[in-house]
Amino acid sequence: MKKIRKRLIVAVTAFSLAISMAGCGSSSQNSASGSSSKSGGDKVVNLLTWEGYADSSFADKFEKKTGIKVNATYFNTSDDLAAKLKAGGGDTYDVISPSGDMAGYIVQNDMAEPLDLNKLENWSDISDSVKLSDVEKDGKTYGCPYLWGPDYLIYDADVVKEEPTSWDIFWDPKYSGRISLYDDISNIYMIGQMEGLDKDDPSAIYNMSTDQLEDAKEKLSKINGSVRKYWTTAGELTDLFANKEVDVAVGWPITVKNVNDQGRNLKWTIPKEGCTGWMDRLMIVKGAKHVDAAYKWINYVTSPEGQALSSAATYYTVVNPKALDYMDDDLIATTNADSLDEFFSKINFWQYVKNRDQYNDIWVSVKSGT
Amino acid sequence: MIKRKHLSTGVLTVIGILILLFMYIPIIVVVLYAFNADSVNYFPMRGASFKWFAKMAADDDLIRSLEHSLVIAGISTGVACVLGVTGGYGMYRFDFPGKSFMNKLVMLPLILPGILTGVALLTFYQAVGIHQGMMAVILGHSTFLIATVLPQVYSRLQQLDGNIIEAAEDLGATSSQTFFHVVLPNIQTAIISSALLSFTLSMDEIPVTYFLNGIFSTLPIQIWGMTRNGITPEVNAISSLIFIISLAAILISNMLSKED
Amino acid sequence: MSTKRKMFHFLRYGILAPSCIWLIVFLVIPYFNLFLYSFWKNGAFKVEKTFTLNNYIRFFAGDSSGSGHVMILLQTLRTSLIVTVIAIIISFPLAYFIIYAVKKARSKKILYMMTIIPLWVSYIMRAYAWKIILGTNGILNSFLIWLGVTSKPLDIFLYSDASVIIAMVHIYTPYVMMPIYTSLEQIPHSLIEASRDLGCGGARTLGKIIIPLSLPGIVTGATYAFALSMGDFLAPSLLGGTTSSTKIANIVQMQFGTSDNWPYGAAMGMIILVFVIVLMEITGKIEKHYANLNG
Repeated sequence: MKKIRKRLIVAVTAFSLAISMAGCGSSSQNSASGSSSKSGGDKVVNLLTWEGYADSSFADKFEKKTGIKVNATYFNTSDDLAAKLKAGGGDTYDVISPSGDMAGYIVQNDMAEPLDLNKLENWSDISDSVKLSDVEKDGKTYGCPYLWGPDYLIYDADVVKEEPTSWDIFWDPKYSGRISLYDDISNIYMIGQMEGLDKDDPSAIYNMSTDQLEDAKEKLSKINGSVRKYWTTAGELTDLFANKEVDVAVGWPITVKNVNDQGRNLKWTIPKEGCTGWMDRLMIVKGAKHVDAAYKWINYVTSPEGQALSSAATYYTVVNPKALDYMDDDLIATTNADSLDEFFSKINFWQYVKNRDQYNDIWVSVKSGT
Repeated sequence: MIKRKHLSTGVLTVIGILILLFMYIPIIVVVLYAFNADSVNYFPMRGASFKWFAKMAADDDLIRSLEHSLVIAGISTGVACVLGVTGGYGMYRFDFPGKSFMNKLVMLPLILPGILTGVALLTFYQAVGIHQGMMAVILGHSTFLIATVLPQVYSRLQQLDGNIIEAAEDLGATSSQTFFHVVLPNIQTAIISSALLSFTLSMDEIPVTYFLNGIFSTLPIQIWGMTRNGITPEVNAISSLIFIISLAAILISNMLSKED
Repeated sequence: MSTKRKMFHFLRYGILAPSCIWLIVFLVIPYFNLFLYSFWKNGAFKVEKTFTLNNYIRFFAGDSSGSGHVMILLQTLRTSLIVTVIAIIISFPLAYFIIYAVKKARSKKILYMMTIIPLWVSYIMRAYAWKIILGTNGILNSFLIWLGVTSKPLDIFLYSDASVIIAMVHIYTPYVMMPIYTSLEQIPHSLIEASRDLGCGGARTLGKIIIPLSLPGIVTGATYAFALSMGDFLAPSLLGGTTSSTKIANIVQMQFGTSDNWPYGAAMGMIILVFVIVLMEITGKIEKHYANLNG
């Protein structure tokens, strides 16, 4: 018995030592900050993006083409992006993909590098209508459009037989306990739209007064009990629909894609009050360690093929019209890539909210039932 | 009299078995459905398959997070063992002011919810300039793993026959010779056993790691993400695997610590 | 001082130094730092190191910077209490069964190990198991349909207070079970025999002898379960619905994430810390009191 024990001890010790050493070796290779080889050129690019923006269907192609490894961290909401960026900064991340509500904030607070438009190969191909001014400062541009999309109404067409026409379906007792909303302040925008606040001025829902916010809180609190679960990642909403936990939700096209890929029948609609949406720009973090790789990544995903692959992975809409040559008709129809203007006009794109803390506070109160 | 005894024993047995079932059915279910051919968890199970295990083995992100976890667990356990053994020995041999305080301090990370330790370390790291990352996590894990090693070593030391230390010193051994050649060999089962437990704990840790990891993923955090995002049966496969391995580690650890 | 004594002192401090220094640097100082943080202001970008009591005031009463969360703390305490009580109700009979109804020592050992194993084997697995069991498309529902008990799946099992409680009970019962078992094990059999000989039936022996003597174990286990379940943000977020997924630990987590208010999060952390420590002191005293009975 003693012999066996001795051998076991030696084995365990050797095993742990071996793992530690192997770990030390591989961790210096995989370390987040990466390394630039002497022959010039970055070996890694670190992304902090929305889910789906580093999908293996195109990230792998990029890696093969350039030899640059793609490390992606996903954030759940724009607030999450801000928090992660503050904690990590340029030491940790190279490229970020903020939506309209954060983009301006990031630029104004000097958290991004100005882009050298000459290095962006596809800049001139990108539609002018998506080159919004919130990422421009002092004549410099800080963000390159990538993809955009709506926060629209998703419903399980097998359960909800008639296409919903209004956001008030969430207050319909028929679906009580079977709905899901995004765990984010954007639900407050939805109330704002339902109240018609943005009819004359789209920015009104991003600058709601305390009274309007209290009203929104009241309305949202009414359905807090009938929400089955709030989703924080698109994958969560996919999970909820896939497991038949919910029938109606606010969501993104990527969920429709992922659930229908499993053979289901989700449909979407933009209700009569309109919907909000987001225009995602790619930015290079201030002090980023792999600027060269960052430009390579941006160029790849804004190229016609890169755009087509990105769109196919997420069902979000492209910004480079040349991508249509690489997209099949189904995809074009699903993402409204050829009816850009019409689709565009129905969407109220996210803007920066000045009293964001107040919106967040209201939202947490709604969620916690207090 | 005898009849009553049988009745109550019978009732107790039924209750006992029911409770054990409650504790184990969830675990059994997870392992069973790892072999589910369908991706939906219906009862009865429709078809068996190994495909989720195959998928798990091909999942690059998962494998990478496993590597990270192994490194973290290995290094943290090593550090915790050094600190736990030296600390336990020190507490065993010497009385010093603050000894009972140290005793309580060591146990603190175990009873305090992980979120507090994670948050305290996060703010501390920010203040001293340690970035989120592998090192941050290793330092954090080492800290709470001391609580697994030190008490076990300390109690094992107390079971030692103190005479052998005296005898060694009487025979002219220096303090370090005594430590390395007399004490250590006698407590090696306690060290190995607590090392195994520490390794297991580190491999399963989420709250502290969650705040400190930054850009990379550890195995439990990766799995956590998967449970929320609907890639479910793969989670069954990896969980089952972890269950088997942890089970083995605990059984070995237990065998070693009871051996005398 | 002789050379030998000098060396002795050196060794003493030498051998204790690594662990002491480590604990001070990575345990004492961080908690102290968190304490300081709780009195600072949250600036737009960086934390402003100006002293303020606002974070604490806000927590209890709410103020201009935001609403307070003392209600959520109370809700969380309520949940943790329920979890702890149910865990005790489960653990005690189980421990009693293993010690008194199981005769063979080997079987006792195996059964005891079986109750402890879940503790060491993956938190996620245990939380996740309930997700796949209780879901609308899950195992319990399809089992009920298969049995013919219901024709449509029931929503109520998952994403509710109940699912969070069930999962937490499952997760924290081993913490309660261990010390109860140890306490029960230590009750000398002769005591029980004596009680029987003196005419006490099973129930009276239980009430007058066994339960009081096992109280230290019950209290220890309850403390662990209560403290740990109070700080758990993972099970609620995975298995909870709306309100049931927002426990105090989730609010703290938010402060270091989306709400981005570290000082406020630190204040809440401190409040939880004080709570747990006070709880430990109280239960420690109760334990000592009952342990004295045992002598």
